[in-house]
Amino acid sequence: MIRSNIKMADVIIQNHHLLAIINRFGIKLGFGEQTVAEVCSSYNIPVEFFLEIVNAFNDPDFFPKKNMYSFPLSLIIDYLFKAHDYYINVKVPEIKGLIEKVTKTKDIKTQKAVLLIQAFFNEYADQLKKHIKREEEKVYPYILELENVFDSKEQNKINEFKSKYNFRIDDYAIEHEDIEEKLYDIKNLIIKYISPKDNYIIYFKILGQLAHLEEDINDHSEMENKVLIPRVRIMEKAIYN
Amino acid sequence: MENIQIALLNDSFIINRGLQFIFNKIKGIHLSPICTQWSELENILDKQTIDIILINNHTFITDSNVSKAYKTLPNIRWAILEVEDIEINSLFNFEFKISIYDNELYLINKLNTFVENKTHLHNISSSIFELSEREKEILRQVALGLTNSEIADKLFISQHTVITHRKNITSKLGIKTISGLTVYALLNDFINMDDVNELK
Repeated sequence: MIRSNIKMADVIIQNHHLLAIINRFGIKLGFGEQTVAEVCSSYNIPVEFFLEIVNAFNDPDFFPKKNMYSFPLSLIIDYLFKAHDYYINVKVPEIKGLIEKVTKTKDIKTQKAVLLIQAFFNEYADQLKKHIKREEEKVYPYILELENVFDSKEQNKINEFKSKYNFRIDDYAIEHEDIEEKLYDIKNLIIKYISPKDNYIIYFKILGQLAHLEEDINDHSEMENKVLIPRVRIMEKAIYN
Repeated sequence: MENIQIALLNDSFIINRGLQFIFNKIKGIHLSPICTQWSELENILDKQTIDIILINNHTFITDSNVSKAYKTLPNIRWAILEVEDIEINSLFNFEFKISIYDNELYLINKLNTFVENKTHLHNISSSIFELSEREKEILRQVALGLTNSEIADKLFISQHTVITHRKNITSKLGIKTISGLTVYALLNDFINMDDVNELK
């Protein structure tokens, strides 16, 4: 369990995948002997929020504490936005590049298989992009406005909000699953049915990157399913009753 | 499951006839050919599928052709018929051992148990990890993009049956999405690219 009084450097040394997470907070390397609390305060990040995020990522069984419910949703959504950016602009291109490399093999049989995987991954990437676009353009603005209206407690604002949206959070909650399953299938197909004659190391890298992306996206949907959506439901219930 | 084909190599005609009499009572085993010399058996090995060679322990130890065959025939397994009181190095691997002094009931029990275990193992490996012909047919249709009700109509089965098959396919292969199943079907030549392109 990561706490506020340990050194930030030790956090990263313990699990280097957290680099991707601190990057989302805008934290740069070179923190010397500073503790987690000190680093967070110099970047103006609420340390409690930071700890919830890194611990949730670090330990799959970690369940966000009650105080996750006290942070403004805008803070969480800001984090989710940055995670999206990382998937679309860093991870996906990285994996695409690696797959492109192995399509250049001279072994026809492997090439045929790799091209299928490539098509599958591209399909996945397109779907992920669409899903993210929908969240960013439709779902997140809805949540942010809902939070505003809810906090204002002004009846006329609430009425205006109600007439503007015919959308509820549960309409969107189910859609996640298929995306995670596709990523799992791609990994599974590579491990089981591609027997490369060359470029072994690149295949290992592809699998490593896929697993990394999968882990990150699972964490991302946990955040949405365990924190974001329950809180939105509570606000919706208050407003529509 | 097909019969387990066992070839017998033993130089005593009388014992061989006795074994044939006993093996005839066992379902799932077929004892053939029956040979008295290695050269005789060797000729048959190329022409006929044989799962197990049942050989007497004396010949197994003394005939150098046999020890060579033990090392070089990868698809054949071995069983021992004890005719003499001699030990065989425990590094050799046998499917079963029987003795010419075993009584009839004991022999029958032993062989029945052997067949049961083999058949059982065979069923497990094919039913848990490999797709049945029906499942392959369903997979083909799923990969081609047909819905459950379309598949049901096409194959004259209920939708419920289609769903059961699909569940089994997913649990056998560990592949959950339709795109994943399509790629699987293409990789394993259950369908080809032209079938897929035709759809688009």
